[in-house]
Amino acid sequence: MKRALLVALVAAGCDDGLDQRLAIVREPRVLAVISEPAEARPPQPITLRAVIAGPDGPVASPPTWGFCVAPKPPTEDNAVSAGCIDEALILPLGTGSTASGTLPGDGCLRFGPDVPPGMDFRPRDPDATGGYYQPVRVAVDDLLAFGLPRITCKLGRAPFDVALDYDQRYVANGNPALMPFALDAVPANTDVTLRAAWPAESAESYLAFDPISQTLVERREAMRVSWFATGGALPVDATAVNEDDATTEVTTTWRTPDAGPAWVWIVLRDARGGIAVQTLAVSVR
Amino acid sequence: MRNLAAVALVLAAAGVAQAQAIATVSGRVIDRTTKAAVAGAVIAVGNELVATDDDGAFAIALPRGRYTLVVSAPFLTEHRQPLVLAGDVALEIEVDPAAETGGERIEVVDIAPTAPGETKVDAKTARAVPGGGDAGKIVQSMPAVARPPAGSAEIVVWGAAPRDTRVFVDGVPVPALYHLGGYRSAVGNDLVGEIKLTPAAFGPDRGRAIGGVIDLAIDDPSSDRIPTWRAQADVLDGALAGKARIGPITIAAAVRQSWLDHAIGAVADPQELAPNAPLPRWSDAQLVARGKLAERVTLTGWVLGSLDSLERTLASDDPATEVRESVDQRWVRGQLGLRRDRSDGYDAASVWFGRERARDAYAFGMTPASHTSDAWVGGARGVQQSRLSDHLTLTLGGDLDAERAREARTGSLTIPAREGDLHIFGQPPGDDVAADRWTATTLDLAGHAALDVRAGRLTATLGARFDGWLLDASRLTPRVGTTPGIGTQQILMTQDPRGSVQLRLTDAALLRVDGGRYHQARAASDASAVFGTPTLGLEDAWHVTAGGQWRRAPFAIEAAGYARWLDDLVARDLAVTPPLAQALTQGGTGRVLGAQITARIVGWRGLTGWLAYSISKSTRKDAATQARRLFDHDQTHGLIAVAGWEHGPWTIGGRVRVSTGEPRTAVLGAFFDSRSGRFQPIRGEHNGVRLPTFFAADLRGERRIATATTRAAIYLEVQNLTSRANAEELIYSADFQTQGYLTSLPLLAIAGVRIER
Repeated sequence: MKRALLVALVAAGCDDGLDQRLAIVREPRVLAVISEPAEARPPQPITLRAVIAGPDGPVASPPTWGFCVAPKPPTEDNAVSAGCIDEALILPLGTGSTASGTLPGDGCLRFGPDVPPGMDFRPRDPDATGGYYQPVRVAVDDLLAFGLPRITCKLGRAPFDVALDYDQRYVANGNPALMPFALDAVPANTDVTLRAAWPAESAESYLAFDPISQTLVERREAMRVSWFATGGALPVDATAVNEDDATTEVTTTWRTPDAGPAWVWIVLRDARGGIAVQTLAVSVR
Repeated sequence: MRNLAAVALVLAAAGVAQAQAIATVSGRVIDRTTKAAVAGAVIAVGNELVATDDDGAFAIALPRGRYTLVVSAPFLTEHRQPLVLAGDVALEIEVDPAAETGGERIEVVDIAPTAPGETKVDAKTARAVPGGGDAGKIVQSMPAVARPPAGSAEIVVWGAAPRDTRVFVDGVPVPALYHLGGYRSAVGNDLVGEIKLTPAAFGPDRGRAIGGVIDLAIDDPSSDRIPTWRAQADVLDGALAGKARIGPITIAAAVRQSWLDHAIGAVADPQELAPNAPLPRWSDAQLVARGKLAERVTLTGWVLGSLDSLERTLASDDPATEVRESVDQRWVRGQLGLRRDRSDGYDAASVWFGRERARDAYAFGMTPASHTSDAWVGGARGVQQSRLSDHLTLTLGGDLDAERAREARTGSLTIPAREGDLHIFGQPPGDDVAADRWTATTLDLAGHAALDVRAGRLTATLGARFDGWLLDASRLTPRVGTTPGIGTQQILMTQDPRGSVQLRLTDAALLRVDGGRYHQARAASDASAVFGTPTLGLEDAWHVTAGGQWRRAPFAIEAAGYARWLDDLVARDLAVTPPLAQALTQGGTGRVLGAQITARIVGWRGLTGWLAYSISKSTRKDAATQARRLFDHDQTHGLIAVAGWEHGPWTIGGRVRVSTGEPRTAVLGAFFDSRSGRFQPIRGEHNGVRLPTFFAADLRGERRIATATTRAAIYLEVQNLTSRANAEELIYSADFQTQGYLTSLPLLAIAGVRIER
């Protein structure tokens, strides 16, 4: 009775029918948009590739690509401006499994800290790693996704000497790498360990501006691994390694589905927007 | 009690009244000392109730019989005398002014409001109503107050934003009425006297608010209403209170400590039980001393303190969507007040001080955010009221409010969310981060005057408030290196006319119109050169209320219409690229229109309560170029019935609430954000949909047990009797393809015990 009373006291609940999980791929979905290089200074060229998964494995439909040129208001919670949703403010990059293009030259003005000469505008705020990003619209069938390659810009509203030092010493981000992991054949309805490992240098150190102390600080990339499978069960959607953690390997347990073909995707993201993906075709017996 | 006695006498006599002849009791009420006529005193005989006119005269026709005649008014000591009515009789009744209790009393005696929409409740009645036995919780059940979301400590009065309504304790502003989570009031329970809500068009003695005003009075510690000691405990918290008399001074103290989190934690993991229900810790303490320095001079001093903390993690299967929250809020207030009563009025003066500290730290996935604030506040007030003649009363006053706040903030511009933000519940804020440290000073020196004019059935109050403001911010532009900041100072003057006109149609019915202009300063937290705008000034509002009242003890019915026009509201600059150091603008405007009808009953066979229905529309525009949108807390329809019934050793309280759901912004679709690996919403019209209608019925029962030395009571309160799962928020699946509701508590039961002497 006592327990029931206390349960009643605080039992604010969610609708049980809502699925908050993304790990099991039940319909076509974009899993990642990878830019090579992961970071570039406008107007350098980049190449883009999308990883699209479906319940039967990788989806081969070629996406339609385009750079969005709609800046994001500082009050916007989303990663991109509402203006990027429609095609009106998109610079087309064509249709294909990959896309190549030159980063718009005014990227640091639209999405970074630069302000037009003589204009006293509020510089855009960077993300927690000090980065700015050029939105890339990816449309495939009825799916809409945005890739966000990082763009190298100067520091906004920092002391001159600090900005100069940053400009000289900052090293652009590179995509991380995943160590090869094989999973050819597994028994049905059993627990299998999935492993994501990366070289220590994939979690790069980088310079960041601390606006409180107004100095440059050395930080290390946090890493996050997202797990996907076409069937079975995964206990978590993702596993994180904080920037003060030197771990270079994480695992999770996949409860395999019934016998048949299955697919597993392991997506590794570093804190500065770099991405590596490993796709595994698995035979479940 | 007066009403009860009168009602009882009437009921006893009712059987024979019709057969008896009618006689008239007439007379005049005069001040015992000055022999001046006393106007506005209430004469109760049997079930008849009249007020004395400007000459102190009255007349009542009654069946012959035995009665008790009662003369009462807020400014009088109640006078009672037996009356044998065998024929017409004329009386001259001498009365004494009320013995003042010091401090800034809220003058509450009568059952109907003096201004449209106003509600006054004594603490005893408030505790009988479902709300956990906490007097201050009654505010959430008052007419004119929107139904608060579950777990919210905010108060929305007649469509005004929570920040626009100010809470005063004995005239001293306090930062919040409720502790975190809204379970309890932050000003304690045991020493609270009366509670008054003026939802709009308040008088010139209150400033720095463009919404409503909530006044709480600290009770007289020497009164019987505060026991010698009292201990109370239930599943939420425990409280102790006591008082002692030292010479001419009576001292009372109370302390309360929550243990809700421990109670939950003793039986289960709160994260598993209720991941979305905050389990804060709170404690508060009050100390009050009051004594008479001379026959009509009272000195009152008090200190109030409140501590809140909350640590919670909304766990997720993806670290990117896990939310960690740490909140630590504390404030203290102290006041020393002196009041001298004269035969023709009173003089009151007080000084007060306080400090507020708040530290909020969040982590949305891997994006941190924090806000710390440390503010010193203080002020002084002085009021002099004089009856110039039988027709004129003049009130003059002045007050000073000062705040010096030191602020620091990191994180996204949209943390915390502001009214009007396009925010989808559960979505992490943007991961753009900024940081700033700043100080802000707000100083307001004001003088006010009000002249009450009484002419026959017409009463008018002509008032005005004159404020001089000093607004200071430490930096006009964001910090760059070690370059010294150039601050900004503004000196602003405002003149706010305020007044009312009241026409008494009959002894039982009156019409009244109130109106005025109001100003409030920007919040110190908005004066950042990075997150806000250092040069923000004053927000502006005009209020008009109009209503009629009919009352015949113990019943009263009131109808009120209200309008509020808001201007220069602080709002987000929605530009894609706002100017430097101008993330906020004062381009916001608002409009609130509504009507409310309230039926009240006080002390009828032990029953006190009200039934109120309101209809309103509250809209905002954040910029002139924008379309008008619904205010985030707009509730079109609100119906509330509240009752407390005292019968022998039992007190039964009940509450029924029905209200329109708040506006929300729908999600039309979603896109995938490759950097975060999560879906993000494509939003529909701003506040274009509403949550479903809210309905809840609550019941509270208390059984008192008296022994030779102590009085004990056990109580049980059950909230949401029907266990209806009311929708509190729209929530979505991870890919935003499926919509559902975050629902409120299906049932809340609180059992407790109270012992006192």
